[in-house]
Amino acid sequence: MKSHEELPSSRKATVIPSLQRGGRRRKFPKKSRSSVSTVIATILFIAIILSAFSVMWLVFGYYNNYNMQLIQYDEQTMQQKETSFSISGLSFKTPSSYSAPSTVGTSTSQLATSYSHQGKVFYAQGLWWVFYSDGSNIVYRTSSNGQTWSAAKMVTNSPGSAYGYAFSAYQLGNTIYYVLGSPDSAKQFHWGYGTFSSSGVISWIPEITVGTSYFVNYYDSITVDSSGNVWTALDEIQGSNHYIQILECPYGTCGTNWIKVNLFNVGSDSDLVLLATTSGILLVYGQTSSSTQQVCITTPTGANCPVSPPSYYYFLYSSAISNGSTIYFAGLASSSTGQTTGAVKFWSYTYGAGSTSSEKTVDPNTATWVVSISQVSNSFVVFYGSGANLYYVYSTDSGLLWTQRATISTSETAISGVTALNSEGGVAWVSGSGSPYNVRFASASVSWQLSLAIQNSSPFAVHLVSLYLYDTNTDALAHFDVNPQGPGVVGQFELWVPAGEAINSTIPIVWIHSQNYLITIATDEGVLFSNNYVSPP
Amino acid sequence: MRIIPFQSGRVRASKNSAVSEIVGSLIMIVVVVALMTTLLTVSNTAFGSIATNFSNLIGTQQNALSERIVVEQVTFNETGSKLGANIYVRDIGTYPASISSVYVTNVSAGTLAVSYNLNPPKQISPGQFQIVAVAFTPNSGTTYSFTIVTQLGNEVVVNEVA
Repeated sequence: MKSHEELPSSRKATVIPSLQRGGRRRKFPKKSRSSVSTVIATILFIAIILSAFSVMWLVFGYYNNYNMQLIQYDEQTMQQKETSFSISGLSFKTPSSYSAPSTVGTSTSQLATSYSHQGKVFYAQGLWWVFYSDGSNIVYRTSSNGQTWSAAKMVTNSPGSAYGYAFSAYQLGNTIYYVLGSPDSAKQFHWGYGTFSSSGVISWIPEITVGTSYFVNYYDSITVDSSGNVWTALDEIQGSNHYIQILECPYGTCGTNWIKVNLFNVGSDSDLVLLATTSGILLVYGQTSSSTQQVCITTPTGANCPVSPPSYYYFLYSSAISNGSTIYFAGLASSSTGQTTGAVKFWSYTYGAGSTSSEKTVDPNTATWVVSISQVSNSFVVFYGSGANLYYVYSTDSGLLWTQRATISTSETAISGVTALNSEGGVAWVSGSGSPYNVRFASASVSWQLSLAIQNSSPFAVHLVSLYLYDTNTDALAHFDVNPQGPGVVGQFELWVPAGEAINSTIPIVWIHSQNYLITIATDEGVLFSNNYVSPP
Repeated sequence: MRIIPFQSGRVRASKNSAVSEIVGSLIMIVVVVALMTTLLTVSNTAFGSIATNFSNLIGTQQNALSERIVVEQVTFNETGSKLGANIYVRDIGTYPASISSVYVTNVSAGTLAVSYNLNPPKQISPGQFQIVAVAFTPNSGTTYSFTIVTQLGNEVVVNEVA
């Protein structure tokens, strides 16, 4: 037998090392295969551990966020407990005086601003905007203070521009829409829209002419519904027949694309106004003979005159506005037809109702009143004039109670065309007995006020975000909020009161004499202060 | 020292043995990978489930903490066609509130005047307010308790005299 040393080197690999090292192992190939499994297992094990750690990290993150939330909750609760503020002074203020009327410009037409409900006065971009016919053109002027006026800028000189009552306008934010009829001249109307700018200029689209079924006679109205569709109503004539036509211009495709919604026969020329409510469009119209007639309310596709108020009204000297799903009307009223004088009455109508509200007499004195209704904050203002006198009254409770009439002017001449539609307390009219007639203006905004002194006794500033003025006699509520677009909000209210200090604030609101008011102020942390106050007699 | 005899048959036997070991090792690797992958999947699922459940639990609690409502004003309509009350509710938190129910109790009589479920719930964005209208017949001079409940279980109670 050969010894190991005697074997060829190639055969030395067959020697079993374990036998050489007394039982210890191992051959190289086995060791290599075992390591692969171990490495894979180790990697997967590490992955599991990492997964566990990531979950723990996530859980810790969630808990940490929750803990932060708890701390914030505790801080908010603590701040609520330490918040202390009160109304340290309050006074109900009446208008010391109405701004003295100013002359906007002149016109050769006595009906330059007629008629009352057609929309000639607007407030936008910090400026008053008054539209009127100068006798040849429809023009506008602007003023920042209601006293000094810019030069006239032309809107249109299309046929019909010589008549103030052939022009109607409607404001939606900083956009103004207008319609111009061409009395008896053509089966068409003109319309356009533009944007108010703070420089007192309106950037208009090129005026668009649209065909109608019959000759447009005199009167027209324009409005925009909540979907952005533009609506117009026109008084039309064909031979001896008189019609009202209603057209709609769909949002997004509006231009000459007007859809004829309705065309119905009426007894004679009818003045009209289209009003956009939150429930839909309403048409209010009345025949325009020189005496009082029945006023009608209907929908664009509704029957002829389904609803009328109890009294007869001279519609040319009356006006209506909408708020929510309700329209509010004020006009020259009489208990019988054929009258040229009467009292000033008010009523409302809610979309879908079978009848109007009961009428409220705003001024029982009989005269040939030219009446226009407007809304200031949560209140309605009725302006009315006759001869040399122009008056106004307010209501803060949707027309249930009206203030005693106050005087704007007693030195006018043959007042006509009183118009204040949606004008924030501004009113325009024409004064004069012969050409040139004066286009006049006065404003009354922020005349009625609630003056508050709010004392902050907290060791930090408080942020006041809401104020409620609740008339406990009538359940009428006026809500001023940090968000003026909130439901039912009539004005903006936001006040920071530094720690330990008092701040004065003025709330523009028309209040009623000898009423109980509950005033509540809320902070952004939900702390409330409430107290009862009685307005002076 | 034992010397393995050099024989041709031995060489063939050694080759067969090497193939078996490779196959065995591969099987071992496959088994290990399969087991560990299963373990990893199970553990990931379990950990994920724990994380999700905890997230939901904490999230709900956080939202409930962040949703804070306060009643600022209650007005009554004791006459007319819309009898009831308007409740002005503000979300003073940082999470949108969803008002789901309102309970009105006649405190003077100790009776439930009306329970009112809002469907869909009234949504209030943080910092904003909404008016919650409740239809019932309030009696002038009577004290009513209004309990406003949110979907997350928060509630606020306020007493008002009609």
